[in-house]
Amino acid sequence: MITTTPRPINPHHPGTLVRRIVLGGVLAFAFGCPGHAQLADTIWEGTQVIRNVNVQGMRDRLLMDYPVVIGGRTSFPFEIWFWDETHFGIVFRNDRFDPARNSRKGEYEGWDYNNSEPEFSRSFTYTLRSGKGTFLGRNLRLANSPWGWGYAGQMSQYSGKFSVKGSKLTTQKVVLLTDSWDLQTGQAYEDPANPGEYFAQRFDGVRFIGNKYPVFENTVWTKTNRKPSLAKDEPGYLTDP
Amino acid sequence: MSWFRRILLWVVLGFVLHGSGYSQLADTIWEGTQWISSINMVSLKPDGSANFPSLLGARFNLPLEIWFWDNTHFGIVFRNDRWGFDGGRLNRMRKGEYSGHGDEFKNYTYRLKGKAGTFSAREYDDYFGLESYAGRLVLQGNKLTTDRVTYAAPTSRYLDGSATLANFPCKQIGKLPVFDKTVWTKTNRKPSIAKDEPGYLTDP
Repeated sequence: MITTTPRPINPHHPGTLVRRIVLGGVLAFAFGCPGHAQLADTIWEGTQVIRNVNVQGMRDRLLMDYPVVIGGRTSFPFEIWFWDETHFGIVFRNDRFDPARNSRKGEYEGWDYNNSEPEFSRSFTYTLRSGKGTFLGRNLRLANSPWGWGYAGQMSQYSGKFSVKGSKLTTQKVVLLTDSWDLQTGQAYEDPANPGEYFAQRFDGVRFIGNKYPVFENTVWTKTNRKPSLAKDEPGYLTDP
Repeated sequence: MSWFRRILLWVVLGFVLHGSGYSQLADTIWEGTQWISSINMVSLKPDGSANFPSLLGARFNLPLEIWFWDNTHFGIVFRNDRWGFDGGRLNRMRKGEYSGHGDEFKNYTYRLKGKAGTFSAREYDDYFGLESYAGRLVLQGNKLTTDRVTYAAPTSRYLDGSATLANFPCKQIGKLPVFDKTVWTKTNRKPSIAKDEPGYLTDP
């Protein structure tokens, strides 16, 4: 058995400065990597306040004169799922928004971790260095929706910066980029004549209008004890309950 | 013309003009877009604390009609069929939802003298108390203008069932809603006839 006894450090020895620099480099590297590891396989929850909401009602794909909502400020319950050191997704918490509605606990949009949506090209990536990072979420539809709710080439994107400090993560103002942004409220129905085939009975919803898109305000997110690697298999998030 | 005849003529003319001022609105329907500012609504948890969703500081429009029943009373019709955001429910809904004169505990009245007048809508509920709005109106030919009006209600008042967020009863918080100045256009329809058309005051 070999044992070693640490030598006392002589602060005046010429090699001490080199050691310190090496140690500093190692520590910086060590802290830099856990920056990623702090987020990998974690779920963060928060309330996203969105202002400058300008929407106009749509019925059967046509813009209606009513309602038009201008300049509203609203908030939504979201989670950020960091799958690994690069990819993330967003979960809208249905159950915190409308508990009475018989729906999934959450609606996921983000990195297609199991390649289940070939009709989309989804790029949801982030980088983190020393507690500061950037993120980018991009949806590109590759094929027309069989339900009539999207077309090939339809794109939406958002990006921004964030910082992490302990169990708090802060996202800064988010920039949106999209050609047209509609939120549909209609439902798809199974065609009785062709079981398994779905069609949209009618496209109703709202379209974001005006020159300015909604502004996502700075948000502080709190780390939860849950993990995407486990939560993905809980019924009600990525699958029907 | 003698002094006495002149006075008599003015009295008669005044009566006629006064009367016609009224009759211009009696049994008429006016349509317009009512913009409402300062919408501050939040849904509530069972314990009364704020919940999702909330909508603060918004401004939105409503398709409304004013039904002047006679020389004194009026009501408001919200035109469901011009509203675009209710999905499949629209097919099963009435064309319009009426609120006003004739409803229990509601007192909707107006006065018109010449071209200018006032209106007042008051609703009383044993539980929630009184909510009301009142303002001025100006009539010019086929155009009727209502002034900016502040809606008044007890702070604890839940808005009625038609104003929900994600099917939740909502509480109005902060500043009260403001009804912007609105220009209404006279239609060819009459409350005396429209009331019997299915879909306004009765189910279709």
